[in-house]
Amino acid sequence: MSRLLALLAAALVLAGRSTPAAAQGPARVLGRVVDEVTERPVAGAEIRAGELQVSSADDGSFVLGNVPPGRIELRVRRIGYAPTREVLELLPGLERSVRVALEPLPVRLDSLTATAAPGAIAIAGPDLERRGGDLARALDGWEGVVIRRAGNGPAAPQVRGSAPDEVLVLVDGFPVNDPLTGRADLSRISSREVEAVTLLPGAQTVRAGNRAVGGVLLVETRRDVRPEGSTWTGSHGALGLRLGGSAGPVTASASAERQAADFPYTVPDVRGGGEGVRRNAGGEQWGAALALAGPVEVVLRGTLADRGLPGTTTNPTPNARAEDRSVLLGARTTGRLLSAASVQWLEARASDPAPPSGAAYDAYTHGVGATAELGYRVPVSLAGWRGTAVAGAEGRGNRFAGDAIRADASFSQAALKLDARLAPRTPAWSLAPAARLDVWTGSTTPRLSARIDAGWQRGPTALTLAVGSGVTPPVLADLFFREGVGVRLNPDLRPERVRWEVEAGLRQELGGGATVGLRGFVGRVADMIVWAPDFRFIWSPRNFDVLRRGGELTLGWRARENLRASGGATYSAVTYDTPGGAQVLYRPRVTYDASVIWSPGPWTADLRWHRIGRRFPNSAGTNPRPAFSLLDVGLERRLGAGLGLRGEVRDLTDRRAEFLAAYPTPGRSVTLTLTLAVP
Amino acid sequence: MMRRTSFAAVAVVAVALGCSDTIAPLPDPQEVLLAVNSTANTLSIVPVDAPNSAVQVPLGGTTPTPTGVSAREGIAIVPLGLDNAVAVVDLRSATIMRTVPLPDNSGATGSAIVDDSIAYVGNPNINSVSRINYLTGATSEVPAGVYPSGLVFTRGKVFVINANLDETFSPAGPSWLTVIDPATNAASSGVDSIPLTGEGNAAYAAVGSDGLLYVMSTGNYFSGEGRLSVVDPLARTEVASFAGFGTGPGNVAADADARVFISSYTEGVMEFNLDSNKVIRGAGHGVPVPSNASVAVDSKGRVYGLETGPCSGGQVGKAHVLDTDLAETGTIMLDECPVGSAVVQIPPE
Repeated sequence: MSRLLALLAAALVLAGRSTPAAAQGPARVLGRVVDEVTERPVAGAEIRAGELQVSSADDGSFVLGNVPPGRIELRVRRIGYAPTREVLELLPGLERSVRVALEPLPVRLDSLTATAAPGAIAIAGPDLERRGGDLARALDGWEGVVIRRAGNGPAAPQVRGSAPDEVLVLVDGFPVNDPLTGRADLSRISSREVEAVTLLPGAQTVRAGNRAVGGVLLVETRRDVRPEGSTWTGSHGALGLRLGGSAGPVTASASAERQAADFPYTVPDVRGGGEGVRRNAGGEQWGAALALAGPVEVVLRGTLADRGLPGTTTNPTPNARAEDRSVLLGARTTGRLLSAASVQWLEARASDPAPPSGAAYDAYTHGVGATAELGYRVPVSLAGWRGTAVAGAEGRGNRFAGDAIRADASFSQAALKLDARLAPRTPAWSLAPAARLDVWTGSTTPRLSARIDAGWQRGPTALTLAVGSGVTPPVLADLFFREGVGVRLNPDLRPERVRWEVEAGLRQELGGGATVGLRGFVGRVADMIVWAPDFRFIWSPRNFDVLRRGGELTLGWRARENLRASGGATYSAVTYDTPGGAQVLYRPRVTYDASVIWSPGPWTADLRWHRIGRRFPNSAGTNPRPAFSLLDVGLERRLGAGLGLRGEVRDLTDRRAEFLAAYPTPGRSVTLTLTLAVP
Repeated sequence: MMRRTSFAAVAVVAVALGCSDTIAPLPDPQEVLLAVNSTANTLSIVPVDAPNSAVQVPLGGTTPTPTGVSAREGIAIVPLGLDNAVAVVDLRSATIMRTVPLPDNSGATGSAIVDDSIAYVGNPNINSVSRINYLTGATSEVPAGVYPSGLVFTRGKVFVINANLDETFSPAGPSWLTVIDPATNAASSGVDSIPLTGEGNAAYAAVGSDGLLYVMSTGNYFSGEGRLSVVDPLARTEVASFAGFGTGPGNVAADADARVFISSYTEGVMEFNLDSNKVIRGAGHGVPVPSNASVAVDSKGRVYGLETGPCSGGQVGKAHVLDTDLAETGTIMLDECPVGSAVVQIPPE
C-alpha cells in the first residue's frame, strides 16, 4: 500500500503543477497541413493543442486562436497518415505560422473507427474507455482483434489468426512486447491514458520489426491533459484509482487497480453442471507512466502486478501466485536524422507451495531487452515520382536468466532497413516500397524481406494494394526455456516467415456520415511456431506451414451529431498447409462487433455487442469451443465542474464466456466510475 | 395371472402373423476396433471387416487428454485425463451417452469395465480409483496406490496398476498392483497388493489366453528398460518377469492363441509367447510401426498397431493391420494422434 501511495503522490505532484504561461495573453497559430510526399493540402486533419481542437480546411489551412502562450505541443492526425507532433514556443499576443507535413502510412487506415466529427480520424480515448477500462477489454473484438488470456495471466492480442506473440504493440512508438515471451499484456495499459489506437493488420515486420507477423497495434497516449483523477468500483471486489495530468512538456499518470477476486462461474455439464466459485482469480496492479515532449521525446513506464494463478477450472491451483515487474525507458529524436532507443527490464516470480499435483515450485526469472534504431531521411526522385526515403539500421539484444529458462539466455539481432514513400505528379497515387535485411544469433544467412504498398485516393474513394513478405525469429521463451517433465527444447526451431501476403482494400465514404471499408488478404506463412506434443506426448515449440486468408468489413455511420454507430465483421481462415488442414487452434474464424453511442445533452449512453466465433482447442479441427456473444451497456453524465459519472454493465446477459477452455471470465459485472478533471 | 395373459396374447399374435415355430439365429456380433485419438479428442469406431465405414465420435469435455479406452459389448469408457471426467460412449449409436465427472485433479487415466453398469477409472493425481455406474453417473472413490494409471478386471477382481511416479512424474521405484473387490468396493480380502519387478511406471496390462495377467513396467521413457511381469490373478503374485523390450514399451494386448503383443514407440510391435515364455520379437526385432503407441488384436488374430503420426498440425494417424504372421496387410486411417485402442464385439440389439 505504501508503494501505491508513493506512486500516486508523485503523480499528483506532477499533475498538479500549473503551466506558468497559462495566465498570460493568448497567442494564435496559423497553419497548413500538407502531404509530406505529394505536398498537396490535407483536408480534415485534426489539430490539437491541449484542449483546443480544430480541423484543417480543404486547402489544408487551420487557425488556432486563444492559445496559451509558452511551449505547446501541436498534435496533428488524419486517416491514412502517421500522427505527428510539433513543439512550438508561442509569445503572448503574437501569431505563429506553422507548416505541418503528414507522412502517409503505407496502409490506408480504413480499420479506424471514425468517432468524432466527419473528417475526424481515429478511435478516441473516450470510446476506448467506454469499451473497457484497459486495452485488453477495450480492444477485444474490435476489428478482428481477439484477446487471449489464460486465467488471470497476461492478456495478449491476436490479429488475423495470429498467435499472441505475433502482434507487435507500440506505445508511443516503443515496443512493449515482453522480450522473453513476445507477448504484449494489454491489460497493463489503461484506456484512460490512451489517446488513440491504430491497427495495421497483416505482415508488417519489414517496417515495424520483430513480432509483427499478424499486425501492429499503435497506441498513442494522451498528452497535454489537465490534471484529472478517476476512481472506480465494481462487482467481485474490483477497485481502482488513476491520476494524471500534464505540466508543460511533462505528462504523468499513475494508477492502481484491484481486480476481481473470487467470482461465480458456470460449471460445464462435463463437470456436473451447476455453479462453482472461481478462486484465486484476483490480483493487484500498479502502473506509472511519464512522458517528456520535446526535441528528445522520453517515455518511462513501469508496472507491478501481484496476482493469483487460478489454473483451469478442472484443475484449479488455489495457492499459485505470480508477481511481475517491468520498467520501460525509451527516447526518440525526429527530423532528418531519426533515432530511437528503448530498454525494458522485467522480472517475474511464479510460485505454488502446494500444487494439487506435481512438485512445489518457486521460479524467478529476470532480464533486460534493449532496442536501438538510427535512420536518415533523404528526398528521392525516380522516374517522375518524388518522395522521401529513410535508410536505417536497427539492433536489439535480450538477456535473461532465472528458473524458467536456461542460464544466461541471450539473443541479439541486427537489421538494415530501407523505407520509401513516393508519389507521381498526379497525387491520387502513392507507392511505399520497403526492404529489410535481418541477422540474429544463430542464423546462418541474412534474411531478406520486402513489402510494397500502393494507394489510390480520389474524393471519397480510397483503394489500397499491398504485397510483401516478413520474418521474425522465435521468442526467447521458445528457444531457451528450461526443459522439464513433458517439455523439451526444439533445437531445429526455425524463424517464422511470411513467404508472401497480398492484401487489397477499399474505403468508401458514402455520404450522410456513412463509411464502408472492405479488405481482403491471402498469404502463406512458413514455419509458424505452435506448441504441440510429439508422438511421445513431449511438448515443444514446433514449426508448421500455415495458409491464411480472409477479409474484414467495417461500417461507420454518424446519423446525427450526437448519434453514431459502427460495426464490423472479420473472417480469418488460418489453416495448416496440409490437404484438408484444420484451423490452427484457438483462432476464431469470425468475429463481429457493433456499437452505438448516443449523447443527448450531458448524457451519453452506449451499447456494444461483439461475438467471437468458435475456436478449436486442437489441431484436428474437432471438439470446437462454442461461439459466444457479449453485450455491454453504459451510461454516463457530465455533472459540471469537471465531474463525470459513469456506470456500466459488462456481459449484461451473463454469458460467462470462455475464450480458452476452462478459463471462464467473471460474467456480468457492474462498474461505477467517478471522474474529476481540473477545469 | 397377468404374465400368463401376456404370453397368451403374444402367442395369438404370433400365430396370426404366421411366425414359424423356430427362433431365427441372432446375427453375428459386430466386431470393432476402438482407437482413442488424443489430439483430436475423438474415439474412432472401426468395424474390423469394413474399415472404410469408420466413424469418429467427438469426446467433448473441457480440457481433455484421453489416452485409453476399455469396452464391453456396446459401451466404451474413455477417461478424459486432465478433464477429470469419463466419457461413456454408446458404440451402437456412436454418441456420447453421458460424461461422468470425477474429483478435481483426478487426471482420469485407465479404466476397466466390470459389468453392464459398473466400471472403474484411475485417478492418478489423487492416488485413488473411482467406481462409476455408467448408466446413472453415480461415483464413489476407493484409495489405491501411488499414481494408479491402468486397470484390468479379471477373475472377479479389479487389478489397479500403480505406476508409482514421483512429484516430477518420474518413476519413484517399482510398480505394484492393488486388488479391489468390486462387490465390496474396497481392497480385496487376502492379498491386496502385488509387487512387480522392474523400474516402475507400469500402466498397461492384458489378460492372456492362459488367464494370467501380463503387466508392462515401462520404466523411464528415455533411459530405462521395460519389463513384462506375469501375474497370477488367483494366487495374486508375480510368477515371472521378462526383459528384452528395450526403452519405452507401452500398451499390451493378447490374442486367443498364446501370444501377447507389446507396442513401442521405438521398436514397433513386439511379441511374447505364453507357451514358450519367450520374447519372440523383442527390442531390435519389432514389426516396424512408426511411433507405435498402442496395439490391439481381433478375434481373427489380426493385430492392429497404431501409428500416432506427429500428433499435431492436423495430420492423422493410422492403424497398421498385421495378419497372424505379423505381415502388414493394410492400414486404416484414424484421427489425429491415436494412442489407445481396444477391440470389442457389439452384440446385436
